[in-house]
Amino acid sequence: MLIVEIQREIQKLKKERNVCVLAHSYQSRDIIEVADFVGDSYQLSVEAARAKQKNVIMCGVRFMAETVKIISPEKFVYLANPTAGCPMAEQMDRDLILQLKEKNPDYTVVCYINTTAELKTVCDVCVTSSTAVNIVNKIKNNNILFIPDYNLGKYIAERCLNKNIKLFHGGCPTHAKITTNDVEKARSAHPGALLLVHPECIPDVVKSADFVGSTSAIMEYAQFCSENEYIIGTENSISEHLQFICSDKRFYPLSKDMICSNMKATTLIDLFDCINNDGGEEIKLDEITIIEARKCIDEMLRLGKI
Amino acid sequence: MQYSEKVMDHFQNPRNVGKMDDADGIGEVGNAKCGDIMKIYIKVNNGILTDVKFNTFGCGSAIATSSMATEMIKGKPIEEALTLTNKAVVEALDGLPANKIHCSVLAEEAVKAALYDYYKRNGIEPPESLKSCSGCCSSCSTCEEIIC
Repeated sequence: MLIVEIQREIQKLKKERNVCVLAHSYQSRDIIEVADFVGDSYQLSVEAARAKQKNVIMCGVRFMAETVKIISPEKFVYLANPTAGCPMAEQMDRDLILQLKEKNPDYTVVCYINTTAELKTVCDVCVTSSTAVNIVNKIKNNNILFIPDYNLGKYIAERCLNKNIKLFHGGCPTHAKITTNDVEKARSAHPGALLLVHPECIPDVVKSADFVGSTSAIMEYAQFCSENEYIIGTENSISEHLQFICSDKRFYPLSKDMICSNMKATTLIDLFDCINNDGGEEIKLDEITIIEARKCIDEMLRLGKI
Repeated sequence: MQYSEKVMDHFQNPRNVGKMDDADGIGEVGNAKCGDIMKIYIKVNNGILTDVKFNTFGCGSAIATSSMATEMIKGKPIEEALTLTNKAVVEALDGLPANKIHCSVLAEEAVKAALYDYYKRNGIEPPESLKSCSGCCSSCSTCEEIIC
C-alpha cells in the first residue's frame, strides 16, 4: 500500500469511528498530515477537550496521552504506540518527590508538564515550557522545587530572580546532549542563520542562541521573522516541518543527533492499527489520580489568568 | 519504595558536579530507554585521580550513584578506581530500590569508560578488566540483563 492510501483509509475510519487524532509536533510528516490537531502537549489536551469526538488517539508519548485523559476523563483516550514513553517524564517517581517534600516543607513543588500522571498527583503547580517563567513568577511562595528538567529550571531561575529555586539533574536526553561544539559547527556551516533553541538544552547552548522558546514558539518565530535561514535547536522533525511550511526559507538542524527515538516510535501503521482496534493502548487512570493530577494543571491555569 | 537518607542527600546535594576542560579521561555512558546520560571526567597526576567531575541528566538514583562513585574514586590511585563495583556504590548509598540498581551499573561503567579513555589517550594498554567495556552501556551485555 502507498502512504497516501493508508492516509485515505485513516481519514475514512476517523469519521466512521468518531475519532480525533492528535499529533505532537515531533511526529513524522505522514502522521501530521492526517491529524486533526498538531501542537505541543498542552495545546493538544486543550484541543482534545474541545473536540466533539468521544475517542481520541494520541500520536506522541505516554505522558501526553495521560494529560489528555486527565483533562478529558469522559473520553476514550488511546496511545497509538504503547512503547512510546518520555524518559524525562519518568525520571522521578512519586516516592522520591514525597521524600523531597518532607525534607523541604516550605517549598512549592513545580513540575514540568513532561511528567507522568502519577508524579503530577504529588506536585503543586504544573508548567509548560512556554508558560513556565510567567507561572513561576506568579507563585506566592518564593521557595520553589522544580522537577524534573535541570536545564529548563535553570532557564526559569535566571528569569525569576526573586525566587529561590532548587533544581535536580533530570533532563531530556535528546536536548541535553547538544554541546557548544555543535553550536560552533552549525554556526560555521551556516554563518548567516539565526539559532533558535529549546530551553531543555544546556545553559551554554541556550546562552548562545538568538531566540529561546518552546517548540511552538520556535515555529512561530521562524515563520514570522523576516530572516531567511535558521538553525533549529530542538527535535529534528521541526526543521523538516518548517521547511514544508516556509518553502522560501532554509532550516538546518543544530545537530543530526537531535532525534527522539520515542517520538519516532509511532508510525502511520501504528495509527492505522489503533484506529482499526488492532493496536494501541487505551489510557486508563483511576479517579483519584485524575482528580489529584488535575489540581496542579488547574493551578497553572489559575495563575496564568492572574 | 523508600530511598535511603544517603541517596536523598546525594540527589539533593550532588558532589563533584561539573565538566572539566582539561580532563585526562572522559567516560560517557547512557541508555536511551531510561534516558540517563552520565559523563565522568578524570584528572590524573602520578597515577592518582586528583580530580573527578560528573555531569549526569537522569533519575534521582542516577544522580546519587554518579555523585557517590566520584566521591569513592577521587584522590585514589588508578588501580583502586579500577576495582570500583556497582555493588560497592549501592552499599555506600545504603541501598537502592531494586528497579534502580541499573543506575549503579551505569556509574561503574562511566568510571571504567573514563579510565579506558585515559589509557587510550596515553597509549597504554588497558588492563584486562577494562577490555570488555566499550564505553557505551547500550552494548554491554552485563547491563542489558538488568537494565530497565
